[in-house]
Amino acid sequence: MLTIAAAIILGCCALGAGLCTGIGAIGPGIGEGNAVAKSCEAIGRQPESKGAVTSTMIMGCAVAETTGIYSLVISILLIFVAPSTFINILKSL
Amino acid sequence: MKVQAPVKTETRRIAVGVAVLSALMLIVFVLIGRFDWTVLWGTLLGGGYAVLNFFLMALTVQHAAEQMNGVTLPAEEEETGDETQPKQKEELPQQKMARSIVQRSYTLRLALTALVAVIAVKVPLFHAVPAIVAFFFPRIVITAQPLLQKLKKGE
Repeated sequence: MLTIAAAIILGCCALGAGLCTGIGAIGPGIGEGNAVAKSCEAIGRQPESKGAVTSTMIMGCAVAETTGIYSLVISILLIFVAPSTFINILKSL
Repeated sequence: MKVQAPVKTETRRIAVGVAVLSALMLIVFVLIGRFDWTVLWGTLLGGGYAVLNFFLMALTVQHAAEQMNGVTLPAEEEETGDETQPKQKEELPQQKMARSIVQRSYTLRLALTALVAVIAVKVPLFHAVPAIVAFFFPRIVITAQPLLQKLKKGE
């Protein structure tokens, strides 16, 4: 019984980790792409503002990327920390 | 590819901020009595990778911006107030290229981040917590920048 429960926990953790990073990485990818495409348009319209636009674009991309890293960290926790914690809880019951 | 001034400036700023925050984190670990060498190595791994990731991202953005070299678009047309027919703008091939460059780079850097995080968790030489916390330092530095600028101005 405990083996089946542990297997279910492991499976759910792996599934959750995959979904977390998979879904969490979509947003920053689309957002960064859109931001850069629009910034390129702005540079095309006002080439003299290239430096300022590039600076702002770098900061914007860094901020957008953080959500991807959040989801990655959650996935790492789900893979390496959560299974042992849950199985220990299960054993103590 | 020559590294442009905005990339250098922003990377330097982020590197200084990450160094300061890393030092603060080490002080916190000392104060709570959890400091050992693995914490130091973990901080160096996480902080170093955070700065490297930012630099790679900045280089990618610079490369994407360079796609517009020699391309000049007309200034934006003034709004006529006619909202009945929304303007449908076609994306330039350079914009599409820039978008794909950034998205490809993001995917690769996320994979690299995952690799570094797994190394931080699996290799006993590194403490996982400071290594992973240090990934978020660039964001904290960026968020704190306006506040620091206000403090500098004495507002």
